[in-house]
Amino acid sequence: MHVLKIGAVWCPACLVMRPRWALIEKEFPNITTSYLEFDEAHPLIHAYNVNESVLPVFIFLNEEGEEIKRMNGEVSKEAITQFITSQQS
Amino acid sequence: MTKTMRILAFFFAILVVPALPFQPIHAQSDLHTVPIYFFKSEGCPHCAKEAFFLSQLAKEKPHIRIVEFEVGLNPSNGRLLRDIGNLLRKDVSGVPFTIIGNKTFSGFQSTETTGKELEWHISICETEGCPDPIAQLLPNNSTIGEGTHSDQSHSFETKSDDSIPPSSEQLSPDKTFTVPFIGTLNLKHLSLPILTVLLALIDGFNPCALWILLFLISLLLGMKQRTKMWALGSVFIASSAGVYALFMVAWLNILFFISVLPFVRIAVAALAFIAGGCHLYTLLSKPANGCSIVSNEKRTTMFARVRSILERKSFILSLLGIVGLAFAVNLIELLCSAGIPVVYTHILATTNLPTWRYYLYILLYILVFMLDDLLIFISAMVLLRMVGVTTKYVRTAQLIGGIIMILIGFFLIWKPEWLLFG
Repeated sequence: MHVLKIGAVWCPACLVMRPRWALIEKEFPNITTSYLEFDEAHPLIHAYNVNESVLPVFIFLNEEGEEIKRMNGEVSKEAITQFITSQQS
Repeated sequence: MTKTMRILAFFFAILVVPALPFQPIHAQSDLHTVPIYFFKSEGCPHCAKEAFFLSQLAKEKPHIRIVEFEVGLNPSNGRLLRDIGNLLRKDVSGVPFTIIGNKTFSGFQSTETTGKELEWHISICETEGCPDPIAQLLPNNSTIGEGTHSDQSHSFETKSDDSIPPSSEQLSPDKTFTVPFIGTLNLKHLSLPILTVLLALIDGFNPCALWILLFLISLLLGMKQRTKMWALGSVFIASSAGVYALFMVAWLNILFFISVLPFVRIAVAALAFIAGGCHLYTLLSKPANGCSIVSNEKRTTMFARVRSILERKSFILSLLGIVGLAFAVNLIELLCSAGIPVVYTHILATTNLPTWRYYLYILLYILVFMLDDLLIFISAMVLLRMVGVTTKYVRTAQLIGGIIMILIGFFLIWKPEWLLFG
């Protein structure tokens, strides 16, 4: 599983999610993540149609690169780990 | 004592002593009754100050008779004041307005200034007597009776006592009221320092200018020189505090002159309602747990400007650029958060304080207001990574702030005396 994390340096919620994701990545070493800065208009942001009104955005992709889940804003670590666990089982 | 000295002492006693400037001691029965005509308006803070001063003075000087006229809500009293203005050829456009004999006093600054003037003139009238040109204008040419105080001599169309903004000694012991879903609150325990800290904390959680600080910190963290990081970040925060303080000081000084006008209190109350409503609207309409994405044109322009400032080779130029940036950003964002500081400075302006304490309270407000910015900056500089405040705290501050602002709006209109701290 790969997770696209889209955030902004000026977004406090994005800053809050950083340490949570650090713990999740430590707990699930088999998942990979990449971070995209929203203001830099990365092509992937456009490709995945990130036009929500809330940052951060977490797009969970399967091995084929297809989107399986999208989460927005400050999400609890438990909610994320629960989803990851359900996908891996 | 020789005979010569006794003769000299005798002549001294009969000729010199009576000429010495002794304060003549008048028996109480020799003192004249001094009518004091006091024109005031409901909700007028300077009127409240003078009302308190006069009530205290009446306890010390039983020969003064204070007659109060409320002009804001009583048209006939307003007409009386205009007639007095025509008679005495004085400008009577503002309250409080006090008449003692032929002397008029417009406004009331403090016990130490205007109060002393009033006391001095009262003393002259007590001992020498003063004319009473106002008596002829009173309905039925009624005269002031003996043994009455202001709260007993309401012979004219004044409102009942509970319309007079009470001084601290006249405050109702029960300033309780009930707020739905919260319960009974008692404002008796609310002091100005507590109110200052409360409003500043709520105002500080307003993220209006936080986005630029976070971006600046993210760039500072990429610098190799920690001294430069600390210097530029500190200057930005200090300059932001400076802009806010300048605005509050300017508004406070404006309010010193115009707060006596009834419509100013109503306008500030309206602003409090709007600010409170905006807080609650933001709470309900904005995302529960994230950052709203708004147009990035302004952000992109500002970020480019910040980068160019930090990339300057000259440290002094970078510092100056940061100061200018702080001023520009905070002036623009001031509109976003002007409600709370305007309401607070109005409450401060209506409080009787020495001048230096007004500025001390503004300093306290600014320090508490900048607390969240300081915490974010210092923790980033120490930990060398960004930390954020969860949305939960921001939303809680918005909810509390919204309720408090709406309550202040109600008090300003219906119970302005409850917001008079001293």
